[in-house]
Amino acid sequence: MPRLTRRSFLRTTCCTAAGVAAASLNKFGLINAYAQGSDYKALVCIFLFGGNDANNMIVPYDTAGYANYATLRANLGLKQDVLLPIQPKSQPTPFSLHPVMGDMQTLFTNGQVAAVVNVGNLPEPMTRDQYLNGQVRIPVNLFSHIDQQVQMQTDVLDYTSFPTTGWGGLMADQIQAAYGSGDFPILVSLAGVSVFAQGLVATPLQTGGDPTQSVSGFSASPADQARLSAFQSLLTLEDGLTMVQAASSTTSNAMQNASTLAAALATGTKLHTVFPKSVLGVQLQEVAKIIQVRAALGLPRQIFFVSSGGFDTHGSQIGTQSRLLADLNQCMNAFNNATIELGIPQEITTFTLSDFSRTFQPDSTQGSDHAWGSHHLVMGGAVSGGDFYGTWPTLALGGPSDATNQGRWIPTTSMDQYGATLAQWFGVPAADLPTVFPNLNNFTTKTLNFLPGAGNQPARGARRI
Amino acid sequence: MMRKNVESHVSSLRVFTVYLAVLLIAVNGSPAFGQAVSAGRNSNHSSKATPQSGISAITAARFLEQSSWGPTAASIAQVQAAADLPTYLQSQFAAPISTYTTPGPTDKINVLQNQFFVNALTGQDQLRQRVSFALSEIIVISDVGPNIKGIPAFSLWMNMMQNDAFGNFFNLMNDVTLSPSMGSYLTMAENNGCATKCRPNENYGRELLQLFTIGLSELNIDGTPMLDQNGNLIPTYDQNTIDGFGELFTGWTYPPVPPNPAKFFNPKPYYGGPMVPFQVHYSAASKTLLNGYTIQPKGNIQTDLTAGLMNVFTHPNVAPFISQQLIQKLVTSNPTPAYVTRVAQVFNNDGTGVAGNLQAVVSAILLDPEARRFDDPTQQRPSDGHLREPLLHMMAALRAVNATTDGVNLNTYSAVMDQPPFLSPTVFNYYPPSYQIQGTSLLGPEFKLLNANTTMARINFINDLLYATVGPNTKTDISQYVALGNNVPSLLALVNTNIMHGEMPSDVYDTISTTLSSSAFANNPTATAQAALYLAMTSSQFQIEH
Repeated sequence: MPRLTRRSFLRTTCCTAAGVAAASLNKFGLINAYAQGSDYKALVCIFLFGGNDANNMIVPYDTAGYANYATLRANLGLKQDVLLPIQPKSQPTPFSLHPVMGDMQTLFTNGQVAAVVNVGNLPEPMTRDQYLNGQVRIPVNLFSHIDQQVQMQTDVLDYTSFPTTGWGGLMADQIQAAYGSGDFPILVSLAGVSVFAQGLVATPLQTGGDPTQSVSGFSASPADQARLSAFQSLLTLEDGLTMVQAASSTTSNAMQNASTLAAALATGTKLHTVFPKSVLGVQLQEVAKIIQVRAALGLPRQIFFVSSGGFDTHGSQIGTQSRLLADLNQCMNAFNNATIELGIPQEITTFTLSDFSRTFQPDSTQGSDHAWGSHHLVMGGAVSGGDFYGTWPTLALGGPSDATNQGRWIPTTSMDQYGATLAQWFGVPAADLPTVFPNLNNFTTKTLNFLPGAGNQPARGARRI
Repeated sequence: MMRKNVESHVSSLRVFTVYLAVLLIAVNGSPAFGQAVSAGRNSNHSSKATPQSGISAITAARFLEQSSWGPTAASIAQVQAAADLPTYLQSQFAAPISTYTTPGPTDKINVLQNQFFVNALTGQDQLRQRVSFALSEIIVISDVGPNIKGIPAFSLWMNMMQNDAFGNFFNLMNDVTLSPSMGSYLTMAENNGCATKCRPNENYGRELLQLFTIGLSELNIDGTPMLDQNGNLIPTYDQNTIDGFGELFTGWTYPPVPPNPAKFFNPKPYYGGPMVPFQVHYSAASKTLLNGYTIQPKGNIQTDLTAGLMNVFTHPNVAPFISQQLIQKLVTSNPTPAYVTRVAQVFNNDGTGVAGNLQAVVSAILLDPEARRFDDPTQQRPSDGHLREPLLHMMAALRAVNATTDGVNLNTYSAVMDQPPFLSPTVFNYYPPSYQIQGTSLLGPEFKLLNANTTMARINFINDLLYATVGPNTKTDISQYVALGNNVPSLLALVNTNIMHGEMPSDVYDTISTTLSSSAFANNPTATAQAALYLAMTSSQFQIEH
């Protein structure tokens, strides 16, 4: 039940910033040491809503591979002379990125970006024949936006009603168990309410805008202060309705977090890195600002969830995706610069997710339909970049990688393996990974190698519950 | 979930019976309106006596919360003056329809957003507007994204929705399918039977089934999902079906701008009429649709479309799928299965053998004992209610303070609450019907829009409404409250009646009363009235309609 838990409830003048900041710092001297020291880590999830056509984000660049791509993709195919070449270390042939992703090309070449290829929701390994013969378990409601979005965020692939905890929230639970609870949530979603953020114990901060905004219109006058006091009292009354309590908790928590965050941000300095003014850019800028004041917040581990939308390109794909990937490229590059400005690029790992990829064969309206296995980017100083992780699919309609005849690639890497790699780097012990990623034990290889030196456990300074 | 060939569990005979039978389903006996109310909730503090018609003030206010954009003193009196609720409903069915005027060539979407707010505030057809808005949240188009080119797409769409809200659901399905606005949004316009190097897009077919009519899983008539012998959901369709509908929805394009002839690959999307068919661009393939029904190859584009839509309309899921969502939008997020069943049965047969009668469905929803249960203050349950979605929250508050407006600037408030009209982020609406409130076992679709930022936006809207201004030409009138500003019990009684449907909880009453009776508010009737309204309208007890 969402409720005020271990938090003091501010009843008097709203948000005396100094008072709140002082309280935070005193309470968390020990954890502050972690936040200021080298044991800090942050994961930043960028969710591309709608199903990004990864087939045009990463394109074969060798002669035969490109020719095959161009033939099959027809009017969706990108011209080779504008593609941006990359050479993944483990691949025998060259590849390329979408023409608008120049910064990602640079970071890939510099080893700060890796690609996880042909990854998706997958309960167990399967071949095309096994899929077509119904011999294996498949995700429920494959090709449905809302189900595949929920599954990417929860790793629960088999349900009769939507799961209510996400792997981000479950990781926050683990961190909270290791470090104890604090005055500010471990997980912050800048993209509103998302199942990714929901754990069993830890309560996330979920906002679609400025998380320091609180109630307005209360002056210091006796009448306004009395009204504010009554307003806060009313938030404690449940009146026998579950929904009243849920709504009131949301408001109370929002006020508490707004006050804590405002005080913490006051200890930060303006970042020089310039972010795009897009939805994603604004969200990532806020992430950078919050990371900057992690010591004031007393957080040695943080998880962030941000999003960009509009990727469901059933029609007019070329222009639309070009704009969206250009924004993604600029936003990710800006955020990478911000992590460098903050001095901790090796402590922050950013990764993309999306509902699914799209049909390799175009549809009749210059777009593509829902597909499955996709390619995603991982970025950060700890990433072993410049390479592909996973198995590149066979780009043939009705071929061994295709679940159908339109080019819907059956993933060869599961979301479990992708997520477990991130989680293990983040500090979730190997033994706890299957709790967070329930299908993980169906795979022989539990993690990929794009974050080497993983397995860094949370420091045992705080009593482990 | 193992994939398997699912035998159709629906006999065609049952489907036939559903909509051609002349069985009369007895309408539930009317609940007892205006029954004596006890003091469990503070109807003692309500200021309106029960008039001779028998509709109590509580019943009237709750009915208006469910059937309008928010009660006003005038509308409460109007309901109480009716002979009974069905009579009042008839007057709502007959009320003149609020329309949208076609915008000018340089107008942006805010012009239509303004009209939305004006219609909601002043239109007599309150119930029609609520129903058409609810339907527009199930069958969604949006100006977000590049697909729709031209604001007239939305005025024509909303006028169609308004007209069809009290008609037949099959007719609505047909109008939606042939709407060029929808044709743009879900790329059915100019979808064509491309056979080799490409394939028809499946966009409209997929969302028509998944979102607008039957959903992803077979449903019982009570709205709960059917499960197979392994406890798994039973899909309503597979990719072959999606392919079939993709082929079916081909060959249609925008109507031409008069007096030009129609043209496929029409370079100028025009929204001034239904889409027009081009047989030559219609897929000649056979189309496998729902429950094994197959349309033969090389058919007629128009005949096939009608047959395809009928195939969807006669699927047994439509009744519970639509009924449950309309109940959620109007009354409660968690209807009992029995409530859904009663309404779905009316959807299947309005009593004269007709399926899809939306007037009958809406009447069934609002007159059902479940909707009327809490007219009795002793009959609350913990799972009751639904969070007012942002537009309903705004309109209820505007109507409660007797606002007048031209709509300007209200869209900015709706945007920070994450519900700007005509700007749903995706075809999945601002929020999905399946959303479960975090930490509870209850569905609460509107809670998907309640986050740290939007909860403040909702509260601060009330602040601006009462203490500042929400628009350059929006005025409020709280004089009736200020007139009672020196008499806290009378003031709160009026707030209770008009704003909290006469059932303000005692602890809420006591908290507000104690505060307003303090010296801080002495001899300041305006501040007292403002504070009473602020505390009431920012409370969760107001925000949760119940």
